[in-house]
Amino acid sequence: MAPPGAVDPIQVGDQSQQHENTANVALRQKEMFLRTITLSLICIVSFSIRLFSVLRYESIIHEFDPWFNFRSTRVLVEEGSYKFWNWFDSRSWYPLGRIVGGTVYPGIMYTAAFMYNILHFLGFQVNIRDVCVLTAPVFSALTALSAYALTKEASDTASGIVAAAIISIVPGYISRSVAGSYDNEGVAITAMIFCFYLWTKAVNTGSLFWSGMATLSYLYMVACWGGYFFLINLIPVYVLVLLFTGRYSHRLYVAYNTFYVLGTLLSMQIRFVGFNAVQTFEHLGAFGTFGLINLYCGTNWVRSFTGPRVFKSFVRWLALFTLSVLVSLVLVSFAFDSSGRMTGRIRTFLDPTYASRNIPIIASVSEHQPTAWGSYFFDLHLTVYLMPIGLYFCFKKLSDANMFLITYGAFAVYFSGVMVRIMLVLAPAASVLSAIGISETLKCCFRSLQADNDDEESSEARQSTGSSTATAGTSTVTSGISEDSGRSESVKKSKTRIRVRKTKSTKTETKTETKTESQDTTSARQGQAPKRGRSTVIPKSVALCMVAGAFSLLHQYVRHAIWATSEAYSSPSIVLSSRGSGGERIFFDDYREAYYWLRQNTAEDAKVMSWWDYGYQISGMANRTVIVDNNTWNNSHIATVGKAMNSPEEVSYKVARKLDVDYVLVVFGGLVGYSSDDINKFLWMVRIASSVDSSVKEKDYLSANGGYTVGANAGKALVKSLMYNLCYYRFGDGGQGYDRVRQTQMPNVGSIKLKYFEEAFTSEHWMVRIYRVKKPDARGWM
Amino acid sequence: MKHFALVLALLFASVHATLENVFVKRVIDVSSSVPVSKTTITMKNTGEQPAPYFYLAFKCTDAKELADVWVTEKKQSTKRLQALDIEMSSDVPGLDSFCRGYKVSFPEPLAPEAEITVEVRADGSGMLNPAPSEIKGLSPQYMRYEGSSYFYSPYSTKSMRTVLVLQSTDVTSKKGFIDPFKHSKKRIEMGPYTDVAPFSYNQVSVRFKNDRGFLVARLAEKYFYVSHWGTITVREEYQVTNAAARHEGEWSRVDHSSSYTAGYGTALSDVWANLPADAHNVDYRDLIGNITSSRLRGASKEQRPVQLTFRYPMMGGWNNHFWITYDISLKNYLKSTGNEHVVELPIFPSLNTDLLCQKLRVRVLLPDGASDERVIDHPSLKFSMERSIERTTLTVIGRPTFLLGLERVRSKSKHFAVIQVRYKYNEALVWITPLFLGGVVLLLFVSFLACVRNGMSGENEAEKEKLKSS
Repeated sequence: MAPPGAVDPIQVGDQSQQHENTANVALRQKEMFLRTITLSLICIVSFSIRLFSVLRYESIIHEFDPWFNFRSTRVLVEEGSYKFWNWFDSRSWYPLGRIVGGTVYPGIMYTAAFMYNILHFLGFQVNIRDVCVLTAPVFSALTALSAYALTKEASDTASGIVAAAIISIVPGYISRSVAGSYDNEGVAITAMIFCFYLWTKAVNTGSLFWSGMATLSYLYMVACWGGYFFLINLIPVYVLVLLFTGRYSHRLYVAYNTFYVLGTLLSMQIRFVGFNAVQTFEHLGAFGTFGLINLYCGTNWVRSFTGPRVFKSFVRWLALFTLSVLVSLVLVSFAFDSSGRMTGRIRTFLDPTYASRNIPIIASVSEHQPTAWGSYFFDLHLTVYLMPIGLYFCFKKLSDANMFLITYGAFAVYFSGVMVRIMLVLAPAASVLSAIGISETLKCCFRSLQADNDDEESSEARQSTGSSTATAGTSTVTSGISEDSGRSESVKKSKTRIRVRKTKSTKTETKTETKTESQDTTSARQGQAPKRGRSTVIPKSVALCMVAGAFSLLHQYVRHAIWATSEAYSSPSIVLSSRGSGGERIFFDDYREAYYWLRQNTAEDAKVMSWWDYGYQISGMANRTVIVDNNTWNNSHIATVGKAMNSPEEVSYKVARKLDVDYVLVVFGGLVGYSSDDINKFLWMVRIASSVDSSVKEKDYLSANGGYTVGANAGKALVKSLMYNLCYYRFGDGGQGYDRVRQTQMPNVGSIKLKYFEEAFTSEHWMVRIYRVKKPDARGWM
Repeated sequence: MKHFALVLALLFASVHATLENVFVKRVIDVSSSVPVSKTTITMKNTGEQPAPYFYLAFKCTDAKELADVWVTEKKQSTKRLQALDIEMSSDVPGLDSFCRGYKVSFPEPLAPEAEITVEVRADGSGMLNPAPSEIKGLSPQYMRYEGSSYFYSPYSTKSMRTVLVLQSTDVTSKKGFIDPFKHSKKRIEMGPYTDVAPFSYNQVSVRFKNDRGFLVARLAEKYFYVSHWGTITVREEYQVTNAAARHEGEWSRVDHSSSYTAGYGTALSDVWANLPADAHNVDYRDLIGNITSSRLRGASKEQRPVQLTFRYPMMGGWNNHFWITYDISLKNYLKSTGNEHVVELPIFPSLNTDLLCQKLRVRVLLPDGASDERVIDHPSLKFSMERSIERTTLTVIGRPTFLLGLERVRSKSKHFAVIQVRYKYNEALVWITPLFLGGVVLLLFVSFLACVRNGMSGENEAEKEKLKSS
């Protein structure tokens, strides 16, 4: 920061310099103290905002995948690491089974087990479920700290604190990290942001130590989440961007080479990744960049001791050589068909329409759908608008670290458009960039508000020459201004305080150098035009308006984040609740009712067939063997279940008997209007089945005019299908035959007769219906 | 066989016939899952020696389901019941190995020619089973009771009467009844039979409609976490089964709702628990989480009822597993003199139903650091006992723990049964955990402070250096 204006320096003696120095240290201590307090408050906020789900419902594992993670964590805690590593789960994918140890990202299980063991070692007899439920909130607090560190590395402390505050409550991240949402992402985002921080640190310092640390963090990320290839592609892209913008440095060389080589070696230690880390397409970019940066460095080295003529021919030969190597590599890879290793999800990233055309099983998952516009605003709110401002400031003060944030932001914005779930990766980028945006803007405003005072004060100071009062003055000004910020959120308040404080402290440093100014406790005075302007000074009224605007925006952001968390993201989706006519809460606990019935009243080894969505929950809550589950690794097995669901009863029965199924579970929302039921998912079962069995044709299940309806015009195959029959069996008696989800009066559902299946259990609101597959007796009679 | 027994009995009768049942009246209630018999016996010592005890006998077909036998003396004047000492005995004279015998001591030896009236309560004597044992759909449940028309006794009886109390008037079959007997509505009266020989047994069987479910606990556990901070945390865990006729085939929610609203069927959808009046923080959960449907009523003087609705209606043969936890105030259960404490714990299940527990386990965790602990014997409770030292959250020394095991207990029979646990505990020990915790925190704080101080001063030095060099 430039010293303000052309005031003559006043000579101060050694004595007062000493004094100034100790005062400065005291100020630094105070600042550090305040910063620590603020950051801890942010951590507490970010932890506690995620507890809505526990308060409103209970300490329970949410949704689908978390149930699997929870189940494996219990295996890990109860059986030990070695058994977990070799765990063959015979309770899923019957009759195939699943080698869990080798097909899982074990990071989150080890994290929770570690916390569990530590707590037990310390004498806290906590329940493993509670540890799992609170894992994500704990890590979100760590994410806030990592975001602080990352932003501090790229910009300054003030932005860092704003970033921590913004990321702590950004709804896009909360959606995956509320208490109970015990999923890979909750831990992985922390690992990712922390890795980014270490990476920027490594690039900034060029130190082997920091790149080594970044690699370790990368290892943790790989262990946690399949989304690590976002990271392993982003960093090479960033390196390329630096190379092409001419910002190559030896620091970058050291950082990247360490990161790539060590990172690849380490990531291969995760069994699920293994040799994929060098074989698959997703990791090719990193490898290419590794080659390129070495080539570039080598070329530079050759240039340093050769003449231009020799160098020119050297480059020519080198280019030829590289090209031939590349071509032969491509040929070899085609020969071994490694382009086929490009998984469907990756192809979907590159071509958003790929999945919907080719892989129904990926397209059927709602979180793999392209993002709707509205959800950007819902998940990111304010940061959508502030992100470009942050980008502007980053471009304005271009540095290696800023470049990283720019690349990250751009990358994340693109991918979030492809899949809804990548919004999670965008949220931190948006938070960090908008933090820089808002912090720089406010800093600019405060500077102009301050500039005016400085001018006045400096004239006053010349009269009083009391430089020793400087620090005392500063602290009071700080408190004064932070009180001005009024009754905004407490976090905001403390954050603001720090921000102001930071501005001040840099200013104080300036003053220490020039020893010209002092400050008074006077607050901002209106109507005084700046006499000596800085380049960025804006009119005071405008600055005030901007500050007020920023605060109201932030206020809105906080309100939105809290509202979104409490309303949209805190439902466990196992227990549903709605408001009764008297305003009281009504709980629909049908899922657990049915799962618990299965757990208590069926044979230990009973096999349950359901659509794959419920697989993890059934094995987690009902503790029964399932045919397919949410780990959709075997498409044809799922297609077989799909076929069983969409065929007529006799055909389904044959399939069910072949799969040794004892119970069939369907989810039906028609009685109470629960819309994500199996009838609404039915077309996906048809599509997935038809991708394997060509005799299944989607149009048979549609009405004559091509629509999907269950009423009188329903497609013939639909009416005959097992799913339809199981869902509407005796619906005429129970719900007067009116389907509330599809707003249809069902015709003739009273006439549904089942020959091979019998109703075993139906939950209170009919949301889950379980049917027993009848077994023929010894003579083969039904 | 019958004759053989009779001969045997006569043989032994000559030796031991110093006692005689003058009058026996039995009331057998078969309206629940367990037949409950209450037998009033007036006895007379016809011998010349005083009789210090008498024997009770149960035929094994009857004793298979035997839960509990409780004998009291019934005094004519005060009507006060005094529990008599009872122990299982295998040497009842004249009893073959297929039977079960008890030896009951008189309060004081019965003098010759003296009479005494005792009351014998036996839960589960006789056989009561659903017939048929499996039902389909909405068909009503019938129960069959099999027992004897005579009171089974090692002594001869002058006169006896038996009343069988049924659940309904709908009786489909009666077999083996000996005249005189009278059936009026819900009661079948047998007798009076006079001069009945010892060990007389005549099997009767009656089948009647009883369209109700019966809750039976395969395992009930009651845990007490005694803390001198002021609360006892109680956890009651139940693994229950509906012992009604097994539900077979299709189960329809439509049929269930209609029958449930009409009020028939063997399905059980809820149970009430009578918690102590000072119970608070009530929690009702099972293996997969909270059960959202429970209703806590306001406390009366005696108790605080809570309605526990099951996750799903339990048909005959269906299982369930759930638990409730609640806190009660220690001061209402504790008597202390100095460091000596006696805590009185209600160890029976608080479910307000005729619950038969096939196994009841009671675990008592005393406060951290308690010593000299012992369970004071209870006259009519026979339990096995294990001791251990348990550690719960932030236990510093260790909590002495008792694990008591009881077999076949009917919760209604002794609802307010309490055990007394005596232990030594210095009240000051409650501070051990906070002190320990505070010490650890302090240690952390001090070490943190030391680190920061060092770091700060280092920074300070560096700063000074920098300034000096500039």
